[in-house]
Amino acid sequence: MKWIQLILLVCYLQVRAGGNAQNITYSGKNVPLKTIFQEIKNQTGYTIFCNYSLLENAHDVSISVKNASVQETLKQALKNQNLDYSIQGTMIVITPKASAPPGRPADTAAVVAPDREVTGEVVNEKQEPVADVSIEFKGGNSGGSKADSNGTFRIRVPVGVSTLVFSHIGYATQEVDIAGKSHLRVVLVSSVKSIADVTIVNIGYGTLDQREVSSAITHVAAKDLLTGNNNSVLMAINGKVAGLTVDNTSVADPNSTPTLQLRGVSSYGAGLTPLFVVDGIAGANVDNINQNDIASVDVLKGGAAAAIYGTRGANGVILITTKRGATQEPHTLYDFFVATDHMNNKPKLLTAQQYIADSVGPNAGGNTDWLKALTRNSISYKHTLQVSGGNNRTNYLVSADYASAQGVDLRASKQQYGADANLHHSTANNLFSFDFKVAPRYANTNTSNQNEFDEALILNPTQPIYDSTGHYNFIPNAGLGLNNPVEDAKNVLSQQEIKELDIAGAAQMNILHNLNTRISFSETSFDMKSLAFTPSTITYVLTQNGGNGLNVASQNLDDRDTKNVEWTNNYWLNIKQHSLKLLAGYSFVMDNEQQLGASNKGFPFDAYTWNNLGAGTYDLTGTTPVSSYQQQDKLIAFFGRLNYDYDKRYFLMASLRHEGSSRFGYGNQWGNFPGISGAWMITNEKFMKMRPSWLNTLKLRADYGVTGNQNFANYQALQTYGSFDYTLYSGQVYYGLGPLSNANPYLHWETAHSFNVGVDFDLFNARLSGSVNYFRTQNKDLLASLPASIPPNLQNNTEVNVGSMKNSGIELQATVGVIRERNFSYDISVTAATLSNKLVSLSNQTYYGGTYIDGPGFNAPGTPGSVQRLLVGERVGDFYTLHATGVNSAGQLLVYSPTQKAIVTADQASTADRQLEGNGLAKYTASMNNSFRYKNFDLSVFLRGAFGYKLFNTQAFYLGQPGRKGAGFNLLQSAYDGSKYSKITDDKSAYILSDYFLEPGGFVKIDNASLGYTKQIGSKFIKSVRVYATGRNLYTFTRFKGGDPSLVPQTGLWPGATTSLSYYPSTRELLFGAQINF
Amino acid sequence: MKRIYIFGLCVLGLGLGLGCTKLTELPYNAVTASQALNTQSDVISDFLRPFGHGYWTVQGTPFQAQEITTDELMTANRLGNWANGGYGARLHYHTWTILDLSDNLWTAFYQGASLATNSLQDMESLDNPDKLKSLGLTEAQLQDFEAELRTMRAWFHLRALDAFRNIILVKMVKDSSVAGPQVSPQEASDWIESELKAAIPNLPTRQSLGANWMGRWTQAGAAALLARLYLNSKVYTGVDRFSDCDTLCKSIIAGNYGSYSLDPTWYAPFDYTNSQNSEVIFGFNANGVNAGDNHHWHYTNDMYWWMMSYQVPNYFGFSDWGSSNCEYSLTPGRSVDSIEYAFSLGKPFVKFQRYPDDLRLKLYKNLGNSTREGMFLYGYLPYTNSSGHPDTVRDGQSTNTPLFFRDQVGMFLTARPGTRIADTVSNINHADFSSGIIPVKYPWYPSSDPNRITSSYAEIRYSEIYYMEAECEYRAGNKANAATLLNAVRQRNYPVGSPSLYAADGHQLTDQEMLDEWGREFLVEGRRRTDLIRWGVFTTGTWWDKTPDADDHLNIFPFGQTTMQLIKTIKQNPGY
Repeated sequence: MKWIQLILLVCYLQVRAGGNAQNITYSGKNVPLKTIFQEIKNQTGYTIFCNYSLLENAHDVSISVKNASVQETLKQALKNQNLDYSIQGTMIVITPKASAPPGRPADTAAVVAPDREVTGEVVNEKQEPVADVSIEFKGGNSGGSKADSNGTFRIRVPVGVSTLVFSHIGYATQEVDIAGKSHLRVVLVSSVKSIADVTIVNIGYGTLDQREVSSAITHVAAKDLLTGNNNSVLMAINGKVAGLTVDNTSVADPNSTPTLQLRGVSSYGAGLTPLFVVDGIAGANVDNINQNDIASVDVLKGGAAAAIYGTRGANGVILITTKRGATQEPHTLYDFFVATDHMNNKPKLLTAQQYIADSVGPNAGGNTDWLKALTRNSISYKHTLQVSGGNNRTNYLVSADYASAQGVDLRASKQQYGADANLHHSTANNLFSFDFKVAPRYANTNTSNQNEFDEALILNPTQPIYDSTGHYNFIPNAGLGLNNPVEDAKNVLSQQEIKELDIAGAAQMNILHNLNTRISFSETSFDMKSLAFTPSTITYVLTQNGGNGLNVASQNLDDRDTKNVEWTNNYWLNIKQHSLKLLAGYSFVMDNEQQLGASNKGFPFDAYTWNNLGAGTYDLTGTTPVSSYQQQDKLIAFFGRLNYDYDKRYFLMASLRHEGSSRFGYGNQWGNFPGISGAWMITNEKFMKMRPSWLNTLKLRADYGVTGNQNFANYQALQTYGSFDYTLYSGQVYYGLGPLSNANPYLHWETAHSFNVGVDFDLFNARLSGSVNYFRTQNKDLLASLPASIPPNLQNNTEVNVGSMKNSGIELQATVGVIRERNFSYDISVTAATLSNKLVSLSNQTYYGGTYIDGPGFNAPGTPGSVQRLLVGERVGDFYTLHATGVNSAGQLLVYSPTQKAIVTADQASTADRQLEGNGLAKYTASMNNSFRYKNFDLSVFLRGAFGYKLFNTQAFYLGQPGRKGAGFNLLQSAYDGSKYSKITDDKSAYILSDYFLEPGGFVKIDNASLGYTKQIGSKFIKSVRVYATGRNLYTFTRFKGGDPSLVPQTGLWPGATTSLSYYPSTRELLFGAQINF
Repeated sequence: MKRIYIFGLCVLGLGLGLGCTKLTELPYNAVTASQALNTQSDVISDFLRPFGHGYWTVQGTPFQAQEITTDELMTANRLGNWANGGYGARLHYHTWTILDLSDNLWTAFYQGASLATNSLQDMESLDNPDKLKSLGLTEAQLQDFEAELRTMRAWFHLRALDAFRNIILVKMVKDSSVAGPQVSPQEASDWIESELKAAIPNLPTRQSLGANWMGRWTQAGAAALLARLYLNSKVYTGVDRFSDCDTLCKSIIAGNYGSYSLDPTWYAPFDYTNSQNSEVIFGFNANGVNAGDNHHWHYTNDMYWWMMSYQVPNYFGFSDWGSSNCEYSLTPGRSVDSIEYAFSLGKPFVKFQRYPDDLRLKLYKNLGNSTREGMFLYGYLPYTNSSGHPDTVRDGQSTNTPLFFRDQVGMFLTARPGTRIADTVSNINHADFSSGIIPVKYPWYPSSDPNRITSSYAEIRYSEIYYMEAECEYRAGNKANAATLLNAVRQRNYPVGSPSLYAADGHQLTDQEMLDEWGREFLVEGRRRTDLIRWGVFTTGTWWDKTPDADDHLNIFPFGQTTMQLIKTIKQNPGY
């Protein structure tokens, strides 16, 4: 990697070059004004607002500027035009030249004798003043005025004028009746009728104006993220992106992470997680992001957009952009919240009295509510301090946070602190610019043990927590994994020490005003030390209870590191209506993972915990388990992209990534991943000039892309040999040396072929806007570890490319402005998605993967088997189990046996009698955000739901049947309340899986409700304050009886079924927070 | 100035383009096949790979296939434990399906055969004098390795032939992408025979290996496999080869394949010293606690460890592995009301009790200093707990009842021994934790004993040669010869001059007695099914909770679902 150092050295040297920046160099003859505006935008980054109609009358100009300021350039360009400009921050607003010379006091403008004077102020929806609003008289009266830079105005209104017309670029023109009024407060509602929409979409290796986007990309702005004590920032977009499933089956556990799945399950054996790109760094630590630092999240759903990420794009790409430094005045933000969680959806178990009354098991004399004993109301809080400042040339943002989170179980917690510092610098001549980013994070956790909740559910409630001597009660282990979970939670230690570091540096050289080249280097590292200790004093360890009396300690180190070098080159050109952008790049990624583990037993003192592993006695026998490994893989890519538009009417994006991965067979390492998309902005067509006024924007899109998935284990293409069993030979120990896996030298890319068509629309002046997409994705050459024929293979499975999966669906994302009044507004955002899925095949000519795979296997007692079948030609999540017809008077479950062609008791049926019984993957998902604003108050209520699927009621299967009584388990109250499960009283039936336990899974959840109050203070010390209260997971409407339906997995190959009672309780969270801007 | 930068970037670009397009994969914690065999030690390790696998195959599904399908062992549903979706019951009732055990059996045998072939092909690749010299190996060593690997491969094929009959032969694995064709039992038998015969001249003898013979295929080991093939030839191919078996056994006993002798005690072949025992012909080295779990497979979960109820390890004072869970115990000889069952098969404990002075009938006890007595656990199992208080093995569930182990199956639960219980149902789905006698063949010394769980596994014992010859003699009508051979082994089970020895004329010997005696000597050694089939009673016999099958297609197992899917050339066995 010597050359990386070389690059950095060159960059360093280049820092010394000086010059001017932020200035414009341009010359052109008879160019449209629009082109010049675009040029200014490209060269300076300023955003230009201009009403189309203004430009229709503007004439082309000839201009030549060199290193000129924005003002100079604009002055030249607008010379002899009937236009004026103003600069607000990095925003240039083009306005018609005021009829009166600017700067003249409004009250002296009156030529006609004034009748009366009207004063007032103009503000936007956020109650911020809007400067330079033009005010005209309705009804042909000449004259008018402008509000001043503070948004206030004072105007003399002639007789006969009863209506004032307020207009400003970027806002909908508003007419205000002034009859009987002398003071007005005018709220302008923003419109999108501007040439450059403010929504900038990150498309990976660059950004685009949302209006120029031709692929399916969902943009989530910071303000739309869900507030909450989110253990992962990804929870903040749950339900916000149509087609994106954010699944966290233990959301209340502070150490849990969600699994994400975009547009359905895409692979059989390789990973399903989308690629995360944080500020351009692919594969960055997502946990190392403070939600307060996020500026926006863009989800690349369309294959054409994701294709630029080639081999890692098949599961979609999630681009997270963090906030940049302020370019004007310094800004400081302090944010604090405190949250408390308490368990909801608590399973109703038999109390000790009921347990005895129903003689479920022996009376051990106590009375314990195990779930209550194992939970607490947790307190979590977080501080964030964000400072930012600088100017257009050099700016910075540093954010630091400290957070403490508790789980509702007795052990789980996470304390963390981290920072994110980024610095942007441009040299004076604007020839070079540099970006630096450093984001460290430290976290200490105590991890939860979900088996404790399994035990809490099944433990005999008459077992006391403490025995008569005040010590923990020993609960004998009867092969059920039972012990005293309270003792476990309070005495067994399981911790993690996590260190994360993301560093990145980039140097850019602006070779020409429209050509730049950029080299970036980034390194993402994640170090985790896992520590575990079981003391010798735990009841089940004590020798008098049959234990071995040995304390056990272990340490495990896991170091993951990704180095990434990218070289990108951008070129752009605007000639008349043609606008062209070119990108060419090279990328090198190297992942390395190392692990080291050690454990020992029998330490002389419990106080050592894991800090003196050598002191254990178990190693004296020569068996100290020590393990380590390292693995590495590389990705190398060359890529290019073309963005072209003609007259902002026709858009084209085409890209190609040529990428190789070290994981694949020699000769199959390289693949090509093309993407192409196009869009037609219908409303920019000339013939649409006469369109109805409610139709503001209408854009049609189509895209097609090929992306890859290489998310599987290393070294599967190679024939590797490894060590196996210890064997003696001639009195010496040897470790058998043999093949580790079945080599597959033909291993190659899994590819996704994605097709998407969509419509983006904006109607009724942004009252109704959004997009609709139809997608169809086929994943081919799925990577799977398939059973292999022995012989000639030596291992059971081979990693192969086999089979294919199809997903398709319709997605809707829309915002409706229901009410937009001065003091009150009500907006609804809706997402909705359908999902069709089909496993097309699991075989090819070489490999036979069978026609189905059964899963997932249910936990003991007994070996209940599986409830689903992944069947070729069918949807993922098909339940495949016995078909129950009822329960007979003897309490035996009756099922239909197709092999015997009769209804038989369940114990007489065999696995051959299983049938398809519905599906566990939601057909429809939807969410709805209702946001209200009244004066300074805002309220949002977010509903989320999933529909059209079944869930297996695992709690009812293990705990809901009286036939299970006597097996040592506690049971649910519903086992005796006459419910359908309480009818199964026969023990032979009670261990058999069937569709009797399937219930409708559909639900609607009040997922998040947040009420806030914002006060503009504007004092010397504080600019504004916002206080807010948020409730999370407030209520769930569902017919599912087995707990919170959102705790049942919806991602992966087996959606709809949990296979054991292990779980983490769902909680309702209340959060109070404050945000202060300085 | 600008040009210099541009030039610099071009150079960089060139560097990137040329220097970093290599995608070499570096397997840090593994080696690629081509790097594997560099030293003598690598070659020995490669040679040993199928031995490690072979040891693993003595337990788990192969053990279940040979034992819980028979009248010897049962996996009962004990209050929901081991219900396992009816797996144990299906094996007991001979109602197994293609999903039950076949795929596991196939994998155990054919992974073994394939690994042996892979190592054999690795050895063949070394067959050039320079290569051998650089590795510090001799031609003779290589020939020995190849002969042992061929024997190992034959052992796996022999077991596959026994289980599936219509098998495929693994002759080559490298550079081939499909399995060979299914062959007739005769062809399979011929090939196994020829492989063993070809291997024998190049195999070492026990004497040539000195003290380190355990875990190695010797001439006697290969000959014993050949004898097993001949003994069962009538079943496998329809050709009666009992006389070939007889001749071969005589030759082994005559010392033509190395020198062996019967141990004077019944337990020494199973004791921690057995890697030096004169009776063990072939076995696998175990090194007990010193080597982690996978180096004493017969002691582990799916074999002898799971022959015990939860707290039984307390009785041994063996605490290294925590609690056990009783998957296997002897099928009962008595009804819930303690009446001996009338059927002649099964009742293994009753069969021992036929000769009441059998030393093996004693309650198993650790006598200290790595010594033991007795082979069974029954009745209460008292022990002194670590607080120094007398205690007894209990059910370990919430009732915590002291367990009284008995030769009966039922729901005795908290009923005291000797009391009548109303529930007289006795079947595989209706057992409590006290149901069934627990056999203890290999000793469980206490955790304080340095020799605990260190016995090697004896796969072929010299006594088997005697029993095979005795059976051939019996079948040939020479009961006296049979009695002499059997008594030669049996005498150690009884006091001197015991009436339990067979009379010199062998008049006590009947088909049933021969089968019972096989059961006594080789109890839980993973061969009962083969013996029942050879005596023609596996599908026709009646034993506890088992009635005769409709036909004899159950004498061989079906090919498993996955096997059938993956190897398209395989035709399912008849009847399935």
